[in-house]
Amino acid sequence: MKRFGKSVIAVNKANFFVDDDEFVSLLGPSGCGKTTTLRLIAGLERADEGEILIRNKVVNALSPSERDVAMVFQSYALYPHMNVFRNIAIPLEIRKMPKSEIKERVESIAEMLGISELLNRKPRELSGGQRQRVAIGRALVRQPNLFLLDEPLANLDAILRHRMRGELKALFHHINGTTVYVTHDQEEAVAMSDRIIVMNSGVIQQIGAPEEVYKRPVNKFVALFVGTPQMNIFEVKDIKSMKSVLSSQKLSAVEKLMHEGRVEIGIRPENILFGKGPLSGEVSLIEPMGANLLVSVKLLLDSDTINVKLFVSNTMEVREGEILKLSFKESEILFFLNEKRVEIESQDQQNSDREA
Amino acid sequence: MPERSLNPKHEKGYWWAIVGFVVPVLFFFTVFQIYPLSKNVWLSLTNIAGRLTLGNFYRTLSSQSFWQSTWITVEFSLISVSIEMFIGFIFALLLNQEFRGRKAVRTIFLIPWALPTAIMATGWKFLLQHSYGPIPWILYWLHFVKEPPYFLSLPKNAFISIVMADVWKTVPFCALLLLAGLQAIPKDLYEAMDVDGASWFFKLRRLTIPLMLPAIIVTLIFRFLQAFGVFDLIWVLTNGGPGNATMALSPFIYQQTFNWLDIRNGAATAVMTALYILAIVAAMWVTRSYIGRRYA
Repeated sequence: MKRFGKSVIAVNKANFFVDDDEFVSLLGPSGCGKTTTLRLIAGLERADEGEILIRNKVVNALSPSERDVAMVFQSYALYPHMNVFRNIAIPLEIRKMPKSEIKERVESIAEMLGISELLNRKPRELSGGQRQRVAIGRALVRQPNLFLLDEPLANLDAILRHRMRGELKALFHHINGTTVYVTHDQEEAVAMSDRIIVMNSGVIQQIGAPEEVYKRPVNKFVALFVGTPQMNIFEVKDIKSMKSVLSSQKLSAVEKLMHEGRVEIGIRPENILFGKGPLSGEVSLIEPMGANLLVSVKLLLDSDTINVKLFVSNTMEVREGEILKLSFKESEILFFLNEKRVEIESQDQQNSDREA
Repeated sequence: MPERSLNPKHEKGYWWAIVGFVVPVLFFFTVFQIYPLSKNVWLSLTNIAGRLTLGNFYRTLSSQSFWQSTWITVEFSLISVSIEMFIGFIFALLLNQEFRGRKAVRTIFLIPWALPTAIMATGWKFLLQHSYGPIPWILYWLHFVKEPPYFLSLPKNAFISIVMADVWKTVPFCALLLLAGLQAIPKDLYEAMDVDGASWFFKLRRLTIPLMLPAIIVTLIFRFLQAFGVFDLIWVLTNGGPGNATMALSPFIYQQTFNWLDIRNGAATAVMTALYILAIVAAMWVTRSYIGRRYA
């Protein structure tokens, strides 16, 4: 646990393990405590409670240097007065490695990152993407226990970010580095990680493989935070309105749930089928997204009107104001009771997959 | 409808405002800067009959007093500025630490710099006085010396005294300028070094000092210019004495001009001092642009 001042708890009861050679992302909105968690692991912050272990050793009392971790900062933190070679060589110079070995290592890292021809340049003479590679090179050159990456792609433009995402994933896969990666970009986390830790307000919400977090979010926060466009979530106010959405078996289960609190239904845009079905609604907005159109539809469910978004292939012709026939893929519908996801088939399994 | 221009030059009264702001400045600048300066240069280049001559410079450059004053000024500047930079740097590092009441300490710390030099020099004169000043006697009571030393009436000690008083006064100034430079270094550079395992000394040598060089140069320029023109401290504390032992260039100019009424030689000495200062500034400027190209 980490406190700032007397009353602000930045990270609360964060409990997780990272396996050897695993790439784990800490994902969450700004200010959720993910960077603080990373800094706690690095030793740049001291934990007020709890233990941090690296290679089965409690490191709480150790200084950052004794923990043998390498960190890539969001700002890259390159030394402005040193050229690229020096920037990458610094961790080795600190370790008093012989000059010839430093040269060898720096050059091989530079080659791996494709920055060999930049070794004599100063950071200010580099583009954002090149600086980013230098920062990564400085971390890689040490071959540490653990890599800590703090939003390393946040300062790059969109195209470069996509490219570096793939490169980074391949790179860390190649070197088998154990990595903790902080990001607020869920796409990045899903695309790169073996496992994702979703955080909000200093509390871990869910830990799981990207697919698990995407398909089986433990609560409404995770459901809404992971995935673009966002999951459609709407409240069940009147059970009658759900007749055309749910089978009778689920309908009765939902009805029972409604006695326990607020019930919401979630469905991802790709699980709303278009063309035929029991539901119909008016198209209110069309957003072209390349191969697909993201279509907003005002859906009439008995007395309720709800807004949902769904994908329609761009080969179809859809116009605003048009009435569309839709159906929900029933197996992919998620149920939330008081913001927490519940399984509907077998009642006794409720909440069982909640973690944290 | 006529288009309204956004250009302020088309605003009514714009030119009058310019004239109103510029004329007073120009007037005072001419009366108090340009006129005295050109008058001084003119005096240095003419003889009593108003004829152009280099005689004043010939006499100045061949006088032993002038070279002695030059040497004293150079010695004073080099020694006091070096000590001030060193101590100032240490204080800047200390003041850069997080501690309780840092703001209060920083303010109190500035007091010596805020005092008018003449007043603080009078204070030092009292402190160093042989017969009743506390410093000689405290040194004596603590057995650092066999008898209370004469600070102001022995040539070497008088020189040490003005250096000491100057250091006391200007360390805060150096520390504050250096502190500003120190705080401009991004914190994450230190964190990156911490994670990579750098020692305190490694960070100082490889990060702090190189990144501080621009601030160090600026501080050096300020300090050398002030030290080279030192006047009031010496005038009050030693009056250039004993003998001429602490007669730096500015007091020497004053002595020539107003005590001996040797106005034209004084003017020539003043021009020579101005040339020295220009040379210092030029040298610093070259260093600065060289460092600017290498770092930052």
